[in-house]
Amino acid sequence: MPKIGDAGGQEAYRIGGTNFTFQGARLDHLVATEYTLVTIAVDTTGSVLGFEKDLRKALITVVEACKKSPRSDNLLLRVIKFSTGLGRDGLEELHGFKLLSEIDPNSYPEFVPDGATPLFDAAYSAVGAMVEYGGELTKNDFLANGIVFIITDGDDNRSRMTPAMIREQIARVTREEKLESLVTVLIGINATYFRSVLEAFRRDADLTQYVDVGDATPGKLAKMAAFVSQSVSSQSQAIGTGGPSQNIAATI
Amino acid sequence: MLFAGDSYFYIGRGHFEAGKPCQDYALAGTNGRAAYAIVSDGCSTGGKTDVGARILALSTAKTLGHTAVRAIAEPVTDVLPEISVRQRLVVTCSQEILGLSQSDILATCVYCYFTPQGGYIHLEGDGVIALRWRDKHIRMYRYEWEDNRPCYPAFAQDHFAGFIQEHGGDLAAQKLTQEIWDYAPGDTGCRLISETHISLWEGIRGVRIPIAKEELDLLDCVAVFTDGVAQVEGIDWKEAVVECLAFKVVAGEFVKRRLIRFIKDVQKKGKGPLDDIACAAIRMIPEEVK
Repeated sequence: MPKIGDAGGQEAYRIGGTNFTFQGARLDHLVATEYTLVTIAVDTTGSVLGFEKDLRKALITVVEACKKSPRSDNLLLRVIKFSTGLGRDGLEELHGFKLLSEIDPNSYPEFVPDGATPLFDAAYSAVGAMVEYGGELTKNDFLANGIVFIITDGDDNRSRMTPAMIREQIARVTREEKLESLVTVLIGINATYFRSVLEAFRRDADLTQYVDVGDATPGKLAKMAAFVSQSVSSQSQAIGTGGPSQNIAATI
Repeated sequence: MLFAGDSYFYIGRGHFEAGKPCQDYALAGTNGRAAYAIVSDGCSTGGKTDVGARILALSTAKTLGHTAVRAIAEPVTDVLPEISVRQRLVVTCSQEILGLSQSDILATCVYCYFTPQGGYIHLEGDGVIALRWRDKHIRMYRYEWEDNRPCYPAFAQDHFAGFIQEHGGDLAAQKLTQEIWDYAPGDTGCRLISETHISLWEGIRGVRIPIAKEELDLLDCVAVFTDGVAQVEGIDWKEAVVECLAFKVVAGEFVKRRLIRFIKDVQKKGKGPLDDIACAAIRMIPEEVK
């Protein structure tokens, strides 16, 4: 896998055949035998205006909950924001795959809603980085599985990647034994209007499940945070079983 | 010179299918300036030897910890008698407190112990020892007793009288076989260096391989294994050792990661480890690398 740089405890990687880059903890900084890779991709487009603070709060809640998990030492978390208002690729990595002990979620910057929705690009980056980095872990004797959450309030309207390309990345997980298992969850928030479109995206990209949170109220966002952290915990406990967790709730 | 240690043990197919516990145990420890790695293999036909193997390994670790401070300043060979006496004292006390019989503590003990001044490897019973140099060539020692009747340290309780009797009573009879093999990266297969037959008397005293400071400076890793490494279906024991030492990333739990993957790989091709398997290893880290 292409490695394109090294900054302290993190190394920069590129998703093969694309310009998408990501950061991951240097392997010689990882002491355990097994890791669950977690990626949370958060929509910060103009349409989240009005609940952006609650969205950020939910993200912080997830990270704090994961820190308290008995499996916290075996989690590597990556967080990205997506919006065409963010740089060249419409993606911004708050941090790459990082040990929870090295993450201070309260230092996450305030979300500034702006731009259109590169949903497919975000999903491709989330899945592709996990496949690449998971493959690197596996090649080096670590046992690894993964779980991806893509949180959006709308349909894609500005991506270079397609659902078929995301599907291909997911297929590599088993075909090339990159990870023991991968769970991909598309979460719709304030997205009832887009439900059928997002369901179609889930199907076309072969994502594991679509979950509709409903309205973006503080209560619903808190429930979403609980769902995400419980799903992370569940997938982490499934590592070594050979398959994905069977205990991830179908609804919130 | 600094050290890093790690260990792993895994139940063999025979014990797993028979509903028996894993009777191998391994542990490694370091305070940075001194390090030990220990494996112990409980006798399959003994009593609660899973407990015995743990007691023996833990008591050895405790003993080595007691002498570590002195051994850093003195040649480790000067503290060997003290280590032996302390080890037996702790085992005997534990046995008494837990109400264990001799058959419960029938277990082998293979350990290595290093300080920046040097160290040694000590084997009581059977097992495999591997030394890997910085140029990646590996020397492997395998010790096997006739009729698979190893000399357990617990036999010291009757001064080895029963054990000697079981082996025919002739202390000069050759009962322990030592094979030494070399492996060099790029070679096909390993090269037999020697095969030596050791007398019952010498075998009872245990095998000791001293490592001088000069040699230690050239070493990359020392590992000790129970004889389970020689009972992995479909793979020669020497190849198994080489595979078990092929660490990809050496941070943290480097032995566990490698052995977990090794066992998964061999299980794809066959039954995997037929007997319990244990490995403990110490890596030597030159201070400039640190």
